[in-house]
Amino acid sequence: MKSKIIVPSGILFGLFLGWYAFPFALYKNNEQPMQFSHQCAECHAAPLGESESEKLLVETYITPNKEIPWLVYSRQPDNAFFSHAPHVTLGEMKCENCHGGHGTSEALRTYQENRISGYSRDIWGASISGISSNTWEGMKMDRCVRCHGDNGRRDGCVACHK
Amino acid sequence: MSKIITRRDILKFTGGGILGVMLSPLPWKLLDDSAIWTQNWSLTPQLPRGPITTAFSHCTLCNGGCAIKAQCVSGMPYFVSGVQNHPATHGTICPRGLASHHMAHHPLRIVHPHTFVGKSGESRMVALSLNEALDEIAKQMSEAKGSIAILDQQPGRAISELYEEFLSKIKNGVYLSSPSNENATIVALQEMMDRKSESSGYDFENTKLILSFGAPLLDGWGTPGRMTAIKNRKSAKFIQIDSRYSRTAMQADQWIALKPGTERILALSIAYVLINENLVTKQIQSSAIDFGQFKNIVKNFNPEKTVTVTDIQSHEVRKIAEELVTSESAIVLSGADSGGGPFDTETEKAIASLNLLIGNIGKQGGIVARKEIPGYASPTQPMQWSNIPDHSISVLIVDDADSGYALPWSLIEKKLTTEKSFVVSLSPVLNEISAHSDLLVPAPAHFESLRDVPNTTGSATATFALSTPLLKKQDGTTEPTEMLKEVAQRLNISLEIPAFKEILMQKVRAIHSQKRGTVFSYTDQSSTNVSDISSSDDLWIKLTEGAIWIDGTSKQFHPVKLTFALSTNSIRQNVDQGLQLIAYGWKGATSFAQVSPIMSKVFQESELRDVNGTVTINPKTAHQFGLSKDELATLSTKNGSLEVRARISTSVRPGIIEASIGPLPNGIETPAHPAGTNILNLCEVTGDGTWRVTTANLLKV
Repeated sequence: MKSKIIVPSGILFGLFLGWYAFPFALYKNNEQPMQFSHQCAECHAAPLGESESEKLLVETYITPNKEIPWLVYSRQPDNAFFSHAPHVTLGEMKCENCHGGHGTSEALRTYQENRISGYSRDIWGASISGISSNTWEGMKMDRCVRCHGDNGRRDGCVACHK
Repeated sequence: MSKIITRRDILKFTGGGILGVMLSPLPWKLLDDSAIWTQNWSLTPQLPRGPITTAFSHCTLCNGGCAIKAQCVSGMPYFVSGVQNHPATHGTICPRGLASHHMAHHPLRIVHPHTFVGKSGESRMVALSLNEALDEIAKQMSEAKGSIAILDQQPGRAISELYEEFLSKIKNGVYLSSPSNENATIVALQEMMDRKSESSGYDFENTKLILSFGAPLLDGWGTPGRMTAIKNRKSAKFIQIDSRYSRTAMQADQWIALKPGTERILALSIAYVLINENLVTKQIQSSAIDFGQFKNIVKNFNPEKTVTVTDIQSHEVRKIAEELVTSESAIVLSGADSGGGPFDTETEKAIASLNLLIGNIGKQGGIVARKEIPGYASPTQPMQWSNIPDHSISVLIVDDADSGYALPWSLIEKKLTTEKSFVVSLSPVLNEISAHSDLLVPAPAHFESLRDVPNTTGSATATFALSTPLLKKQDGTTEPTEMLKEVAQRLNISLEIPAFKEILMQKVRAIHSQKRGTVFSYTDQSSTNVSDISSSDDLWIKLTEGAIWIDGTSKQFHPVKLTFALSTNSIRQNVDQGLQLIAYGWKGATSFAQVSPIMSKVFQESELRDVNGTVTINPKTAHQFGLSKDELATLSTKNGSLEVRARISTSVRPGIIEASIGPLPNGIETPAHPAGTNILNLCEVTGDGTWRVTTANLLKV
């Protein structure tokens, strides 16, 4: 009896480790330097200067004329070039295609940094399997190539690697 | 069920665990992440993160002086391109210029003085302090029994004036430059017309015909964008007389393929037609004091006779001569090959004399005089290599500036004293000259210091610009002015050298005081008359932000005396004993210079440019020596041998071996002794400092 459950237990433990525990170990949670809502109209309709984030924005960044060190979810390696212009203007793609519901979010998500590669979890996608039916999950090269292929667009190396 | 956990249970659980992990994304994700991790090692150069800005400067990798626009992140340039609508470059820069911002990060970069210890071939580089290096230079100079020479491959700069002043204050000072001068025809003309102290240029923009004897006009010559613009505009017909199907020959309107080494004979046979068919005006005939003597020399060069030597039919020679006189304007010029080196003086004179015969001197679309840049002394021509006695130089300082043209070590070695010579290289990147040096005192790398960019090669009007630094100067590097000042102090030579910035500001003040010319600013693409700029400080700011000063008009120029001064009248033919080795190169990628390793894509992976060790031969020659495409062969001359890879092309004459003086496939052989044996060192350097044709042999490996 014991020998019958030991191996499956090991398998279950391995699956638990790989599917559930591993992402916690892999990604480090970093908070953005300040909070920001994409629902601009609501923010600007209300009187300014009340929230802590706005206070932080003015005192830490605007007054000393300092750039906000945003943790960019979409930051790619330097050898990958991406421009919004051909995708939005020529490709007529909607923001949601790539950004999902980010435009309607009220607060910035925690930036999850891959401890090994140093890039955001958003590059791989939320699912540790890297498999998702959502078009906005994952920004790896295979996603770019697949989308270009599906839409009959040029996908030579130099399209992205200048 | 037993409650005891055995070793077997642990192993089973572990095995199951491993199986479970393998069925999860963990190993595959780790594989992917670790691959990305390897891209971010500390050895991999990373751009800093920060604001993206634009800066302007000028490339000083050769004397082309091209304007560049640099995109910078956090102040560090990451992309370099030309400046659109630039009056000289028209927005074009060469491939080497495109990668010029890489040079400060070159793997062969050195940032401290070094010397070599150990026997030749096994020596190793040892760092030493700047003071120790300067003391050693001063000691060697004070003990020198022969000449003390400075090799400056970009003469005419502010530092060049200081070099000349320094050398004038010591005994046996010799000022040298590259044996390959892009302005060779102008230099020959200045000597012939007794106008050595005047500057001249080519009015390419207004000419209708350019007859080039081997000058790589469309392959990086002078300011590459200038020549490319003229070619694209189709305002002038390009005739290329070249023994090789060079890149310029490929792009020219007409290629005249002559036998190697017969350029002088062809030039004189063109002169023969001009004179004997009365195509030279009486005025020109009367102004040349030795026209009769010249005519006497030229009479031996009847095209009917020279055809056997040059392989150019007489009717072709006549056609060239007729085109030269019937064209509204024409320029005849010669030029060194980037790897094959210069023509001999007699050939230069013979080619230059055609300009005198067709009367294009001082005319629009011909060779025009230009005014000097205010603040600069009249140019003095560096001593010709042929005039330097063999084994006469005891101390040689090699400035870091590069001409882009090959300089065989064997030529330098021939001039150094045999017993105790001392060579100092100021190059910031190890190259073949530094491998033979005794002391390395690296100057700041490209774009790390302020430099002046005076008249570019062949410009018709005077120009001035500044190469402003885009990168922080590395600690340990030494400005050449600083080195010169310190050595002068140690030798008790009275030499006032202010800070280099102050020297350049003096030049700018002089330009402003003359109120001549205009300034073209790169930021807003506007032109401003110097007379409208309120102060020299404002002019300085404009120039440092990215601008070029261009003089107004060319100087009025009427030749007062013409003398052809040819001394040879024989139809000399190269001896056809065995094969003839013709070296060729790519400007800026020869023995002296290094190119960015990232540029391997244009010469190694794509074969757009040939690497060192590639030879091209005619199919008949290949058959004669039993060689097939890409087979290895041993190329030998009396100077040594080298294993080469053969290429076969009908564009090469039978009996000729065209050999590339390109970069080495992996950039370098060893850091301390790069390019130990290259094709350049197989070439025979003659007494007049040329190496255009060498007798050679090929043997299949």
